Amino acid sequence: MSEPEGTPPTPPTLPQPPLPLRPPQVPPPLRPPQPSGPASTVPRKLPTGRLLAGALLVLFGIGWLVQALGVADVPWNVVLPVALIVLGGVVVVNARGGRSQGGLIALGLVLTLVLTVGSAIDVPLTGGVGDRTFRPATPSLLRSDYGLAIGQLNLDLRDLPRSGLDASRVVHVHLGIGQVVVHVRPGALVAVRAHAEVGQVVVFGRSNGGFNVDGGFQPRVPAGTPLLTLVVTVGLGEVQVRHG
Amino acid sequence: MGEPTPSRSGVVMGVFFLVTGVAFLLDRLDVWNLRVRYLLPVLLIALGIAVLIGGRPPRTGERS
Repeated sequence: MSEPEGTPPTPPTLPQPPLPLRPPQVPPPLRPPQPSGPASTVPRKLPTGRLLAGALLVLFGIGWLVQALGVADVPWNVVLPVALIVLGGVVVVNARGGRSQGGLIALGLVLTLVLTVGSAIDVPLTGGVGDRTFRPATPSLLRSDYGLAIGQLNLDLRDLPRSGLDASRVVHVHLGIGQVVVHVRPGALVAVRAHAEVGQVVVFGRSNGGFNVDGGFQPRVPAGTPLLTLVVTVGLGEVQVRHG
Repeated sequence: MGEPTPSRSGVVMGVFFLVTGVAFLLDRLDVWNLRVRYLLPVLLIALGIAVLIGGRPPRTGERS
């Protein structure tokens, strides 16, 4: 078979060289983004201020929980000064590294202020936090001391027999911050000495308020009559002693 | 990158907190009776000294 005229002859096909095999493209390994600027050469520092603040919050929370559960009596009077000492140590150590620590210094100033106010008004922060009610039914159940750090303390003495005391007794009731309410049966032989560093004292309807407030009541009884003496103190808050 | 320069005001405030904390701790433990009428002016004096020392012009290698 011949080719038709006018058609250019087809050039002989040359064998094509095989395409070079290229290695599969592997994406470059991902590198963490490098911060630009001079900060990239500074090694990351441990945020000790934040760590300390967090640790203090956790410790205070644990202490509060332990106190609320009645597992132990946390000595808050000691905890706050220790916290201030630890904070001061961390501030000194951080300062040697030239770190800015305005937050820690502010926290230290707040702690110092709280401790100063606590010393000024002599708040006895012992005995727990919350609401407590005590209702002794017999003189043998009557304790010589009732205390609470923060909250409301109710001491209900109305169940005590009017002439049940065979000897004079002194009962101390102390509260750091909050309200103390003592209920006394009408006609009971009770003497009261009440004191509030800052706040109000109301004893059988007579009220005094302000700083370093005192109040009291002394019944007129023959010498030798068994008398119950209540010594009620509050640091910041209110003392109420009332009949009924 | 050189050594970090110490912060003098930070050191002063830290020492201030340390001393104050120890004083309050001794008071709470009834080792030492802290009287508020003396405490407040002493705290004010200490704070002022801390501010004065922290505000001095820094020496070489120091940060104010």
